[in-house]
Amino acid sequence: MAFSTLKQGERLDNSIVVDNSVMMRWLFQDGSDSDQVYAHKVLNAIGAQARQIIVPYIWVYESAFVVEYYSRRHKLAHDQCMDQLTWLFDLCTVVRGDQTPTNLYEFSHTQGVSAYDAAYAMLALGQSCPIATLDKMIIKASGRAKYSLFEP
Amino acid sequence: MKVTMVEINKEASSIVNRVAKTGESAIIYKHGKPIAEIRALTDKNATERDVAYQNLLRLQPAKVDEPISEMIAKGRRRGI
Repeated sequence: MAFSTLKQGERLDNSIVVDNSVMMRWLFQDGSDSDQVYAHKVLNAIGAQARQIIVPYIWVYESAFVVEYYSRRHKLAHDQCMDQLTWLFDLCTVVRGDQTPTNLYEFSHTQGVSAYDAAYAMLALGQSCPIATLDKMIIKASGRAKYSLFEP
Repeated sequence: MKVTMVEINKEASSIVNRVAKTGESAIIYKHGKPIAEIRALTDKNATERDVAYQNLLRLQPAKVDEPISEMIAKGRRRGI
């Protein structure tokens, strides 16, 4: 686990941005089998390629929200949820990058994605690394915005 | 791995890089006897990452009845 404040232009080696839509499928399954298969291929590939997972700061809130919601709804054990969030956190580098309201707005406005999606996509662009995602809007905008999607 | 003083003198940089990359230590031999060792420093974060990774690989995801994509969107609508 690490928080990282990157200097302008600083790049992390062999990194990959993993969207919350993928990471949550390491913990939960909702019946979308092809998405589940993709998420687990990503997990396997990360190990095989010794990739460093990076996420924007918003992931901290997003992951906690989803786990807390499902834990309440499905009465999941508290310790189990704490362990699983810890594992995800240990696996990631949470980047406090140079994202600002204005550049997030500009990216989301021009690329037709939400500012939340933009946080992931801009991190991948800034690091020149691929993004693993199941988010349809992030996938759709990848060609225009010129970031690469991870194919495990 | 086993290396000699001659190899250390000629290829120290590549030997150190190999140790750091693979984690395998290098035992230095002089006149056929082991005299020193080069080993990678243990990275606590790397160990934690490895444990976390292995745990996630073994994890059987919990079945949930609401789509994950909906859940993420719901969080965002609520103003995360």
